[in-house]
This record gives sequence, structure tokens and C-alpha cells, in this order.
Amino acid sequence: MAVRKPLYETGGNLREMDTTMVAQIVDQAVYQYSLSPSVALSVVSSGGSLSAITDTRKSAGAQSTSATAFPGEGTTQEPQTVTVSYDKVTETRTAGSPTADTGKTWPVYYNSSGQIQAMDLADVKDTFLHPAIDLLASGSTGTQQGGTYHVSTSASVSGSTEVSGSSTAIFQDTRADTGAYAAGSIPETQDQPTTITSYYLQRITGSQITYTEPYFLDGSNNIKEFTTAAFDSLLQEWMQYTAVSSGDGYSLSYNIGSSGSGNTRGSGMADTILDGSGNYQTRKVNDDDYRAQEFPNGSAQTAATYYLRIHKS
Amino acid sequence: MAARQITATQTLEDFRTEFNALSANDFGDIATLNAGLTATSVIGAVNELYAAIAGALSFTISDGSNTQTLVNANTLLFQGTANQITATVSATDKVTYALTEDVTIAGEFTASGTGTHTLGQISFASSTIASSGTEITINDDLTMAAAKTVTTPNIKGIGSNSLAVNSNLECFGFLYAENGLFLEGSTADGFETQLNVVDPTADRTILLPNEDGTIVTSGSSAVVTGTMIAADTVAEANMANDAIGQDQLKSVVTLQILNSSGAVVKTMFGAGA
Repeated sequence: MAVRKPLYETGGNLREMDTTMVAQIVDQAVYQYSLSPSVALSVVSSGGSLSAITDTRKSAGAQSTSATAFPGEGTTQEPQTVTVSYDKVTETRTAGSPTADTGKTWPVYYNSSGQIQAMDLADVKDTFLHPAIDLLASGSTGTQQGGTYHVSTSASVSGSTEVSGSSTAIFQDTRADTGAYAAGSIPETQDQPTTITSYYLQRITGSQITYTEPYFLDGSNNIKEFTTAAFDSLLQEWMQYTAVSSGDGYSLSYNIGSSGSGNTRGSGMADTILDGSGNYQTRKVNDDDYRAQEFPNGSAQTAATYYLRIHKS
Repeated sequence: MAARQITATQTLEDFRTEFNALSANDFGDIATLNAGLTATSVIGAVNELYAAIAGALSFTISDGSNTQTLVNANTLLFQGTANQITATVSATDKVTYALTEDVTIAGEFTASGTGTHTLGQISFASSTIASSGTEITINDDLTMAAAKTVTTPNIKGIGSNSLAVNSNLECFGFLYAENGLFLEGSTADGFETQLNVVDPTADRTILLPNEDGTIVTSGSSAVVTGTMIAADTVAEANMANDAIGQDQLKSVVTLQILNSSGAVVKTMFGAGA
């Protein structure tokens, strides 16, 4: 662990940044990442790369008929379970080609001997990149997680952007609409669902940070202040690369499921289903047409809850 | 004394009185005649004198050691030739001595008079030598005896002649040297140090400080010491570019700049506290 304190200029002197200043740069690294996330999620119609999740609901059983009497409950089909798969989220990873360390690429710091030394990539990782990745990979959904994703039951979330752009839900929890079934309409359409909750994929908007530009060594080995644009570019390149290709446990990935690795992001997507054993209903159409059908009934129970997770590995 | 005369109209008394006066005053009292004369009449005395003068009277000239008698009819000649005193005889009874134009005195010459002695334009008055010209030229080496002092408001050299002073040369006014001062040093040889100035275009003043020491010139090398430099006076412009090294810094401290591999890419030196 080699967290460095980059040098900055104050009053004509080079001074070590304090932890607040370093934290500001970390936040800026997050912001730069948020402008162009290298681990991106998109909403597709189907076949997304992330695991599919299922919505289950009850539908009415098939009707039973008789010419002499109402079919018994025991012989009438029980309500059925309808399963709908959602695989609408695809992860795209684009590492890019970050600027290689020339020996004088990164900010300078005072080493233990009081010398001014340029940070190497390991220092940069420990000081900026990995703390920024840690923020991104947290379970929070604030600006320090800019460029990462969360799930919301609302298509419009302040501080986030709905990913599909068309309010396309990535998961909908549906249940049988019990009010839609009527004995007088037997045979009722078996599957008469109603949407309980829709879930939307949101990307968190980052926040620009005002930070103190550190100093670095230029080509003539002079100590020079980074331009904001130059340092921002370095941060973005390496955040993008690290999030995709970190070889030391700081790459990001997403998964969806009822279980999985990483921190959950946003609302859990609950698959609820009615737990009744069936609402047995009959209809006499005429003396030769006796009908029976079991409608979904019961209380809503959560069959499963799925989460979007962000995982650092 | 006019000649006595008796006119025709005068009396005998007048004649007696005039005669007595003639006898007493004009011829004189015979009793007062010089005892060397034996004549008893005027004529007789005149004849006696003539005989004496024309006869044996003479006189002697002497230089104190040698004598020479000049007798009647001898002639004393005052005759000068070249390099001798010229005597000129003139009336009445006058001899004038004059030196010839060129006089050589084989021995010493002493003029004891306290007035002004003149040799050409050079005059000697008391202890003062002066010239009626503009200057006195000494056309040879001038040597002052030991412990003697030359006191003058001006000393001026002409041509290549030298002014050699074996002891002290003091000047209480200004010392002018058109071609500089040549300093022989401790060894009298062919090498001297010339002290000169660039031709001034205005009056200049260069002061030698009131202290012991050695003058530093543009030819000096590594002789100026730090103590000669006034404190806080060496300005940036006095420093040569790229000339100050770490050895010149007090309590030097170093600041190294390393690249990310730890290789030193630059070292900065600074003065310590």
C-alpha cells in the first residue's frame, strides 16, 4: 500500500496535499469515469448478457365442462403458474489504451528521503484509482458512484439517467388480476395479469469536482502543474482501463440475480405471486352445459427478489 | 684762483697789498717747503722736482711673492690674450679689466659676494639658482647626496633622461607623468613595471585606499579574497551564468527529483538554514 500525497503549489512552495485534496482527486476520477463508463450496461429487448430473471404469476386453470353437472373442484384444473423471463440487460466492457507510464507521467510526491519523486502506476492505483473504484463499487447511489448503475421502480430518478431512453423496464413484476376473472365469463382467459411494479435501469450522473491540480515532471525534468484537461484525461483513461482490466482486484462487473457477488444497486426486483390454491367457480350455461374453472386467488407472496449487483474483482 | 693784475689806475697801496698776497698765498711760505727739497726759490724747487722725477724715481709691482720695479721711462703693459684677463687703459689714469668671452678656470672658482652671480641665463643669488629663461635644463644624471632632499613644486623630465632618486621623492603637490611611472623594483635590471593611465578625457580621481595591501588588476588571478568584498554587494549580474556550484552553498542541502522508477533525473542544491 503506497498512498502518496501529491504535491501542489501554494505561496510559491510545493506542499503535500492533505487527505481532503486527495479525496477530491478521487472524486474527480469517479466523475471522469462517469462521463464515459468502460463497464456499461444497456437495455436490450432480449438476450442480454446478464443473467435472466423471471417473473411468475398465477393464471386460471383451464375450465372443466360437463353436460350433466358442475365439474368437481377436484377435477377442475388448479391455477397455473406463468413464467416470463427478463434478460434485457447487456454489459459491454471497453478497456481502451491508457497512457503508459513514462516515468514522469504521474504527479510527484515527497518520498521518505525528502526527495521529489514521480508516482508510479502502483502509487496511482493505491492513491487514486482503487479508492475511486471502491467508491464506484459501493452500494450507495450518489454522485460518488457516477457512471455506475442502479435499479429503480421509477423511470425518472433525479441524479440518474434512465438507460433505455424509452422507459423500457428491465423487469416487471406481474400478478394475476383477480378482479378480471368472473364466473359468468367462464371460460375466462387464463392469463390475465396485472403489472405490480416495473423496474428501470438507471445510470448515475457524476458530479464535476473542483480540485487542486497536482504537479508533475515535464520532459525537461522541471516540476510543472498539470492542466486540468491533461490530468482529467489521465484519470479517465486509467479509470476506464482499471474498471475493465484491473489485474489486482479492481475491475467492475454487474450481475443480476437473487444472489450474487457484490453490492446491490437500487431496488430489489421482487417477483410476487398469489399464493392461493385456486378460486373454484362454476357456471351453468344451460341444462346441458355446466362449467367450472379455478381462478387465481390468495395473497401476494414474494417468490424471489432479484438484485442488480456491482462487483469488484 | 685767478691771476693777479694791477691796473693803471690803481694805487701803489693796491700794488703793495696785491704783492703781499701774491707772495704769501700764491707763492707760499718758503718755511713750509718739504724738507726733502733744498732749493730756496720756486724755480729752484721746480728744477729739483724735475730732476727727481726724470731721474731716479721708480715703483715696484708685486703679486706678494715676486716683485718687479718699474722705473722712469718703463711702460707697464696690461695686455690680455685669449683666455686671459683683458686690461684696457684709458684716461685719466684708468685701467679696466675684462674677461675674455671664453674663460677656463683650471682650479676652483669662488665668488664670495652675497649678491647675484650670473652665468649666462643662470643666476646664483645666495642659495638660489635661477634662470632668466623659462627653465633650467640639467642634461645629465642628477644625484642627491644621502639624506638630502629635493623640494620643488614641479619636476619635469625631458626626452629619455631619467630622474633617479636613491632615497625618497616627496611631492606635496601633483606629480605629472605623461608616459607613466616606471617602477624598477628591488632588482635594477631591464625589467620595470610601468604605471600608466588610459588617456583621460576629463579630470579623473582614483584613490588608493588607506590600508596595506596589494593592488588587484585585470591580470590578477585568484587573488581577490572574500574579505575584500563588501557585505551584501555581490549582485546577480556579477555572477557568471552556470557558475555557482553546490560547494559555494552554505550548509548545502539537496533536493533530488526522481522519476517513477526511482532514478534521479535532476538534483537541486540549496543553502541550508
